[in-house]
Amino acid sequence: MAIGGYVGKILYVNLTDKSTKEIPTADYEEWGGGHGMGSALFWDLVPDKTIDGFDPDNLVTFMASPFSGTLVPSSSGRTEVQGIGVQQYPIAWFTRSNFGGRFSGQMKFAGWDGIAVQGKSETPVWINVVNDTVTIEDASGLWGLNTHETQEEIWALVAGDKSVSDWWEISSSRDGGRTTQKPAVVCIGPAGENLNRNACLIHDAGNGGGQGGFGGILGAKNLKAISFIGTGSVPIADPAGLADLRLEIQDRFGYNVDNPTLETPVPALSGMYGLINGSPGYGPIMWTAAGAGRPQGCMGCFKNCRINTESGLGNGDQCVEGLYWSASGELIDQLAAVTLLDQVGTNVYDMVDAHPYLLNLYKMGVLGPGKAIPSDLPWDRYDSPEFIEAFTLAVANRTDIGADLADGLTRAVIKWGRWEEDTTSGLLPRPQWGFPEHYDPRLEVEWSYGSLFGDRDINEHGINWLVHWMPTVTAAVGQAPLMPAEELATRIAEGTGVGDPKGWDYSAEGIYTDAKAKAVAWHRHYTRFWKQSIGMCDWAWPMLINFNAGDDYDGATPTYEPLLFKAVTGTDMTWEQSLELGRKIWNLDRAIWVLQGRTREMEVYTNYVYDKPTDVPYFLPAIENGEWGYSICLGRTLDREKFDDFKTRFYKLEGWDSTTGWPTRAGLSELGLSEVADALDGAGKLGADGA
Amino acid sequence: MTEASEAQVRFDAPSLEFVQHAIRELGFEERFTVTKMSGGIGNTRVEVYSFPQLVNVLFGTKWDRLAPEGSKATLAWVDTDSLCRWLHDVVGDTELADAVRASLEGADYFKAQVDAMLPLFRERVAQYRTVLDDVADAAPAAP
Repeated sequence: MAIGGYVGKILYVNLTDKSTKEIPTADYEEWGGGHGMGSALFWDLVPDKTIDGFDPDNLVTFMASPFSGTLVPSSSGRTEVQGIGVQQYPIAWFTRSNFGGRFSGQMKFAGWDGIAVQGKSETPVWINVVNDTVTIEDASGLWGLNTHETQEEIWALVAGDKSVSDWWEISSSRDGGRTTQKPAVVCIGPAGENLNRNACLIHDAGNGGGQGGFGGILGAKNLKAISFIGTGSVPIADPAGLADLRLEIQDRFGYNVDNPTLETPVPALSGMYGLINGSPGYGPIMWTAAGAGRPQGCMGCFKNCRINTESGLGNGDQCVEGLYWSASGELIDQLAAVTLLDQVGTNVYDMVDAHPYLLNLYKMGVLGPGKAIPSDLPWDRYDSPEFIEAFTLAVANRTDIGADLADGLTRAVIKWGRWEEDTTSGLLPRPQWGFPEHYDPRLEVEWSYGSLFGDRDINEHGINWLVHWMPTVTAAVGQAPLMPAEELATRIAEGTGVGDPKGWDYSAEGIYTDAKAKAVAWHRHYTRFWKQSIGMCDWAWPMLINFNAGDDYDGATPTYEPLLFKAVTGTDMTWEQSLELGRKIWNLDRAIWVLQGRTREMEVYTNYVYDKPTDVPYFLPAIENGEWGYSICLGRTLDREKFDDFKTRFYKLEGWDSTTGWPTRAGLSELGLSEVADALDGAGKLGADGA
Repeated sequence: MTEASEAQVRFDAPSLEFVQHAIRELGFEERFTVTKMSGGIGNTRVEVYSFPQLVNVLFGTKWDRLAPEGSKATLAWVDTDSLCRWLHDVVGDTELADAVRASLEGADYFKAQVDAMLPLFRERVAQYRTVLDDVADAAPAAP
């Protein structure tokens, strides 16, 4: 049993009868934390895995990890959210989301390793946690407020009228503790209240838990917000060792602003170049040329990828949300658009490709006033701030075309009868489960295969920075790649432990090999444990190669993850053991998806992936004509038959029935999941051993 | 492109009709595709429906302020042959199309292409702006 990292208990709240209870963290410690614990809690507390995401019995978990609230670099501020979703299509899978900031840290300072919420309140409520005291409060005065207003109201209700640096007593009891912090609140906006399937969770200014539609799910539970404030601390097994590791990592792998190892050769492209050198503030890549601001990060981060802007707009918006809309060409309009999106609580990832697609339909004469898809929004002024404001509010409030879009763009397009045509032509590139294309599914396949064999767009960049962005950004600025393709693939293969560099060969044949299957499986297992269960940030980990680290470019992975785990928890965990635990969690998730209805036949992409050749340069390491190099990857499609054969071999590698894709008793028992095998067997969905 | 070569570029002064045609809103079949590349969402296809929108997408700033502000940090990839054809055939600015084509000779990576094209767009946009400003100045004041 760990001697550090965990604070001892998980909070369970039943909103139907307003009861609460403590679940000992030790009961779930074998799962590591975060996602592993969330999946196990869901398995135990939701007997019927086939319920709808809006069903009151759906369990939503917000889990910290042993690293939350500690000094572990770029690993302290993430919160993992799970439950049955409402976003994906055709089945809204048991799924996950994740947001940064300080929520999980504050949750642990209050003495909790996570919170699991089930049931449905008859009236709007919010959950108020002050150290050990848990109250379910009336939220009728908060209902209708946007996400920023909601948090400000809760700060005032809990902390009173305190300015930023004021100390305050968080309870009236003796030794209740003092803090300078405001409560950490996660909440929903109007989009969530309206049960939108693309409603998200917002914490602080712009930390968003977008995928899955958890904003709408909390809306269905009549749960407006959850607030934590605490004055405790996190026990650390080896505090001095952890401090040393943090400083060592910062020194060896951080971007030294005073004396950078790798500087952008083109200052105007520092945002793009930050994808490979990690310079502070590089995240909001559309904003770097104009507008003052300063780097900002999540709790405990040593990278600080975001920017707090002079205008106060767009703060905390670090990733795709910054790209929501920029049609006016005015930075301030772009920041205002994403701020409004944060305030109404809509998931940008379901909307960022929606308005450009809909503009195309408008131009085609399909959409607009009196058209087949009626809309009175000002489509003729698409590049004006008035348009994006009207569009954003329409979706959040289910007015005009938003009445359809609030169920997600995919469901809207299906309703309009355009899904087959537009995903075949590529006008709407949404490859799997109704999610937008993120990285090219015909080329960068550990991303697309992982998404298809899972539940959502995986959104895991650790390999992507190296194999795609390094050669792409250097090519864009006229530099030679920072590392030859063969060396890059070899070092990734060695660092991961997979061993075979061909796992990172993205050639037309390389994407179907057994080596690729092992690379994809490694990616699923690593991320399930270290990123999603232990909370290591996607924009920092894994760190297989680091271009700030002197001439050798050595990264922190795989040396430092187990060292950090040992320093925090006191538990020895080998690299291999960590990956095996990731595999166990991945298999438990797979079993839930199978119970929900997953079949082999469903694991296919939309037609454009197979039929429409790539026509934009997309650099990746590849073996072509017997030589390693960075291929431009033009004219490529995914071959249906070869992918189908790959699927068979991938299933076998994972220990699943190759004819159905279902886990087998032998495979599950090997992972200590015999009772999961029993449940699948009882549902008639257990894969055949050896098939 | 060097400053010396930039100084050699001269376009004929466009007429009001020419400018109005060049900056008009386009239909679906007349659109031009730009691919924006970003770490946050990968590659996204942006369908461009006007010359001002092209300038915004390509250089990252409002089209009529291109000269003072310069470009923002993003990769906006275009097929340069297609771009020149679109400028020539759809926008109707053959001089700009020809100048862009000539400037791109030897510019074989993104930064070099932006550096080559930017001065040409700046000069041409400034000319467009002058024509439109002259019309605005000549318009009778509102009562």
